[in-house]
Amino acid sequence: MKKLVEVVGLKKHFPISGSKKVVQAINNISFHVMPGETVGLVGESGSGKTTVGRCLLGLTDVTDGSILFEDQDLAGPKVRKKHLGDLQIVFQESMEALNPRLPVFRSVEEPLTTLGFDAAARAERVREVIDRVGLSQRLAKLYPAELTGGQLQRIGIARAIVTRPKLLVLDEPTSMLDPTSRADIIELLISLQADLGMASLFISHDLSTLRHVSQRVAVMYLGMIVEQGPAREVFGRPRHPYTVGLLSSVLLPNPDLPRPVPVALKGEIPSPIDLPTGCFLASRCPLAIEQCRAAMPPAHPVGEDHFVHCIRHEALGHSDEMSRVFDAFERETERILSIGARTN
Amino acid sequence: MNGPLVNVTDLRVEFPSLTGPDVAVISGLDLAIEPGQVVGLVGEAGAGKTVLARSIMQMVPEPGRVTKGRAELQGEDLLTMSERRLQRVRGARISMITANPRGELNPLLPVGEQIATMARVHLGQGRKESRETARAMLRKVQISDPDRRYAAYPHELSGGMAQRIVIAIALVCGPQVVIADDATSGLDVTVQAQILMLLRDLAREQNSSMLLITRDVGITAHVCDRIAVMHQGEIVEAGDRQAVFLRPAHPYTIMLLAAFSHNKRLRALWSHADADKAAPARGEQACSYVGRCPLAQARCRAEKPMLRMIAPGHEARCHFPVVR
Repeated sequence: MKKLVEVVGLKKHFPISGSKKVVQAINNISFHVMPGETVGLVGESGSGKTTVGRCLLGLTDVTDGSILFEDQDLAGPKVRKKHLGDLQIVFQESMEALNPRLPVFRSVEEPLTTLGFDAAARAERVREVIDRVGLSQRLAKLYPAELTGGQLQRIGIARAIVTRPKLLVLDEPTSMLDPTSRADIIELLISLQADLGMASLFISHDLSTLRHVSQRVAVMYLGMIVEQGPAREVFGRPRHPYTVGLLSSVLLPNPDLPRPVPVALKGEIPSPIDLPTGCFLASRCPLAIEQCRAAMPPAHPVGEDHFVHCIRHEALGHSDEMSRVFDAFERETERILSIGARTN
Repeated sequence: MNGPLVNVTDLRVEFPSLTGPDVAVISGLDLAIEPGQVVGLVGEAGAGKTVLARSIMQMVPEPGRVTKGRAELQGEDLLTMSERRLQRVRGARISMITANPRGELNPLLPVGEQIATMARVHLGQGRKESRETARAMLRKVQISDPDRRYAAYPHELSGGMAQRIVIAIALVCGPQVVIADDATSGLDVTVQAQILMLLRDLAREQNSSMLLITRDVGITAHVCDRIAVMHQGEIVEAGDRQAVFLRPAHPYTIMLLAAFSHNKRLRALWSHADADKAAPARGEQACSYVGRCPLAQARCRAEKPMLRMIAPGHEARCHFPVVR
């Protein structure tokens, strides 16, 4: 199958005013998204994952590298324009992404106006997507301030899918929501994708969500992809110490289950301004050796379509303990939920 | 010591409404914290968790006011205490940590000085001694290079580092209770667990009790001794963490747990997808969860359930709790 999006050697540096230094937000990353596929992009804040999304959408220019959409470089003349509406984004904070002075259906309609739809076609499509995201038409006439967080996020999604995009970039779409609304929104996104056949790049730091929704994941740290592969593999048998550290920070609501693994990362993410030579994780990694600080580790294949940038990945070993903990949690939770429910 | 360290009884906090009578954000709330205990308070945004924390501190934001009830610290009611006396209590015997550490810190004062100030004001230490105390505290919250960081200003610190400073300020006087209100939500995932474990360990070390308020249910299962679940200004379920997480009895608690499951069918059984969250069941006579409850019956609309014991040390505010 042909790749829908291919990112090759992408770099993005932001200049710092009054200084010769730059913020190295993205450092030479490559990945691709197949049609209809969900790729998870995971990392802490400051890892550059939002910037990747913004580069894809053309919301910020790139320093180096290329982004191909259906084999055409989006930087080429008129290519971006040709694909207008094919790439869409759902932002983390819909409250801030929507115009506070417009009833929300107007915001949903806007992309269609840009694409030159006539009024009747616009109204038809807007009605359709409002239904599709599970909101009543009455709510669509309200202003953003009158809606709840979950409802606003549904509007954000409606606005993104109204152009029937081929790729949806989801930038932390649920991180501002309560767990209960979060689950509803995730469910909506999954069903939308199944129905509309969109591909998506799901940017999040919420690992239990990504494990559930994505087919492949890329783990980002300080502007680099440190591990990339099938979601089942990466979450089940992570091969990079950072992925292990991220997973071990997940706390599931069951006091009987252990925290996934004891490999904890020390300290915090360093500043992306003066990046060290060598592996960016070396200062926090419990497995780091002298060699790690000498040069940037290249990509090692560790399985089918599974790459890791770590020279110590063999020392890390690989166990499936984490998937066992996740699976045990799912089973145990299902048992708890099965009791007492009214199943008529 | 007899009796709980903190004892909130029948608390009611009201806010005026532009369109109708005053709204009770908290009503009939009872909560006890034993010495040395870590109590987790969970619930969705808008449940009244922060207002409860602020009521205990006597810091309810205007125009809200406490209209009923008591909040006792070792038998002494904080709600009727004079402002002068409160100033000796806050920071020294009860302290609070919030989600926004930078907002808590004075931007114009080196962070070490801010810790030392607490020791000077509340512990009566002199300049030199208080500086030593502050440095020791910086080491305790695991800040590297404490001598250099002592002189740093808040804007020079990362979010996690600033939160460690706030923790140091909160703990420096060895308070009896620490209230952590969403203390880690602004931090990165790998740092959140780190900070909470640190906070819990330090609290244990000085035998402080803790009220941990959070939307992150997962954290409480691993950090807290006891869990209280809050819904629309009431405690709907309380018990030790094993009971609440493994044998949840209130449909609301079960719904909160269901949000973590990927089993669509089971999630649907416990959540009313059509129910409008913003529309609570008004009036004192009905159960506050009746509008969203999949198990609701006629009695739930007619009679408000009381918090009652369903097993030793495990209570639920429900006419038809799920028994296991």
